[in-house]
Order: sequence, then structure tokens, then C-alpha cells
Amino acid sequence: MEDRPPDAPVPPQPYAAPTYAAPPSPPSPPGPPTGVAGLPPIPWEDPAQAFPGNLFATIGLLYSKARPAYERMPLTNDVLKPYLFALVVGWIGIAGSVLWQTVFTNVMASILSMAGANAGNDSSRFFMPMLMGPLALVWAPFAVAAGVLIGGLIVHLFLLLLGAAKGGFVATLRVLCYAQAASLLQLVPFCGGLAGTIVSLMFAIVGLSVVHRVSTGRTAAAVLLPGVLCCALVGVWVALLGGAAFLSHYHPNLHP
Amino acid sequence: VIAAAWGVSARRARADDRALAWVLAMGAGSVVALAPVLPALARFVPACPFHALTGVPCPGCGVTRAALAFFRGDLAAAFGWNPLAAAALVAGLAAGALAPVWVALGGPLPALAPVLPVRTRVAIVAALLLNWAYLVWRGV
Repeated sequence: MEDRPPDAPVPPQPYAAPTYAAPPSPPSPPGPPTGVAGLPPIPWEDPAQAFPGNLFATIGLLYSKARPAYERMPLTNDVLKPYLFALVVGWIGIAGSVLWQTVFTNVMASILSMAGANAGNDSSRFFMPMLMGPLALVWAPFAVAAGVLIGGLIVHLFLLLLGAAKGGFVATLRVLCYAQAASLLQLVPFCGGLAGTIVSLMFAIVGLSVVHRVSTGRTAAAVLLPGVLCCALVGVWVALLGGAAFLSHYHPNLHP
Repeated sequence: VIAAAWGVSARRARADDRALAWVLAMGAGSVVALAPVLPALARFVPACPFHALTGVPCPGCGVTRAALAFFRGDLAAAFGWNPLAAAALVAGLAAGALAPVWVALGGPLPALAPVLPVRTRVAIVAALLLNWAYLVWRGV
């Protein structure tokens, strides 16, 4: 073995592999957006899927596997597609709600007329929803468009307050847009509105925890904080009203 | 430096900010489109249960009346009903109207820190509480 001082220059190695800089690779063409975990995008944003198949696939994915659905949601700044999704499903939900409201208003009016009740004194109470129904279908997209944005701003404000808005406003807005899928539950009569509200909150909590990478407890706190007090108070209020109605029905002399 | 201490910085608008700018514009446009039917819709807004129960306005009381006053053109009354809501309405509509042009011109955009400093959070909560105190004082 050759004896060489440690600071001596290294002689060239005739059999060593030549070293050279790798040529710069050409820029790769922009591919389809991927989800949070590098998964294929959610069907609504998958360029390979067409309408309305991508709408049904997205709704099915959200209802069956909400967390994987949000993990597949791309976090790009292109919020127009999720916004359009919110408009479509929100409009369908309002249309369903209007339909049932109109149907039950008619049924109620028929029952009252058959029972001989004098509904004429308060006819606007029954006919107003019928008149407002078609109008509601016209202004529903505007209400959804404004509501999603305002809701997103409020939720994001509370996420900021709780230090849980790591993904930025666009991520929050995207989650709330897809959470509008819950408004389709308004197509179910009687309990659809309440169920839709609860499922919408669940979608939002799960989705926000995915995109902001925080616990569901923190996102639940952010989402529910503005509403918890109000809902609790509304519940108390409804209970009080119910109690008052009960008392006035069975004890009419309590009224002055 | 001062803005950075509060968790706010600025960056140039990029091409991919256009979608959000258009969404803001659509949201603001929707609010304006709803303005003519707002008085009719407001009739269906239930009375505030908090106010009904306690006699004290909740932090959101006066928002509907502020919006109605704003779209009547009575800006002073709008700020009187709920200053924070009126300010948010003005800021939101202005942002929605200007955002597409602003982004197209590559103007600076505000960027919030992922986690806001405590002082900023305290300031936000203080603003909400001050607004509420005003509503209580005014008896909205």
C-alpha cells in the first residue's frame, strides 16, 4: 500500500467512473392536480371525468368516505371549480326544500279547509311560501354564492383565532364548498334540513382538520364556536315557546 | 416590520390568484343582486333569541338592519346598527369589486401568517367585544 501524507493531493483515478453534471431535465408538463396526500384528485376536479358523472362520484365519495374525499381535494388556488360545485348542489338542496315547503303548505291548507278552520284571516301565512317558492329558486344561487363566502370568512376568522388556519383561506373555502353537498339532504322531507345542517358541520370539521393538519377537536371548536351559543339559546327559546304554547293551550286563562 | 409583527405581510399577486379574485367578485355581486329582495327576505329572519330572552343584544344583532340601511344608501345608519358588520360589508364589497382588476395588475396582496401572533388574536377578540359593548350601550 502506498504511504502518502494525509494532506497530499489525491492522484487521479484512471478507473474511476467519470463525474459530470447531469443535464437539466426538461420541465415536466403540468399534470392533473393531486390531493393533499398525493392521491388522485377528487372526481369533481379530475379532468378525466365529465359532468354529471363527476358530480355524482364526488357526492358519493363525500357521503361514504368524507376524510379520504378531502384528502383527495387539491389545495390549488383554483377555487372556481369547488365554488361551482357548491352552487350546483346548494341550488338543488334549496329547490328540494322549496318543493317540500310548497307541498306541505298545500296539504296544510287543505286539511284546515276540510276541518272548517278559518284560515282566511291569515292566508298570507300559507300562501306566502307558495309565492316565494319560484322566487327562491331564482335567488338561491346568489344566496349560496354569498353564503359560502361569508361562512368561509367567519369560519376562517375563528380558525385564525384558534391558531388552526395553517392551510390558508383558500383551503377553508374549498372545504366549505364541498361541505355544501350536505344541503342535498334537504331533498328528504321533514328532517332533511336538520340532517343537512348536522352533516354539513361534520363535513366541515373533517375537511378542515385534513387541509389545515390540525385535530378535529380544534376544527370542531372553530366551526361550532359561533353557532354553539346561538344554537343553545335557540333551543332554550324554542323550549320556552313550546312551553308557552302548551300552557296557553291547556290554560288559556293564563293569558291576560 | 410593524405589519409583520402582527402576522401580516404582502406579496405580489400571481396568476393563480385570479380564481379567488373572481370568487370574491361573484360573492360580492351576489350580495348586491340580493339587495332588492333583502327587505322581503328580512321578514323571514327570526328575532334574535338571545335578545328576546335577556333583553341584551347579541354580538350579531343589528346585522340585518345594518345591511338594509346600507342598501338604502344610509351609511351612517348602517354603522349605527352594527359598526363591525357595516365595515365588513363595505370592505367585502370593495374587495369583491376591485379584486379581479387588482390581481390582473399584479398588485400586492395581504398574506396572513399561518398562525397569528397572540397580540393579533387578542386585537380581533377585543374588536368583537368592543362592537358588542357598543351594541349593548346603544340598545340595538
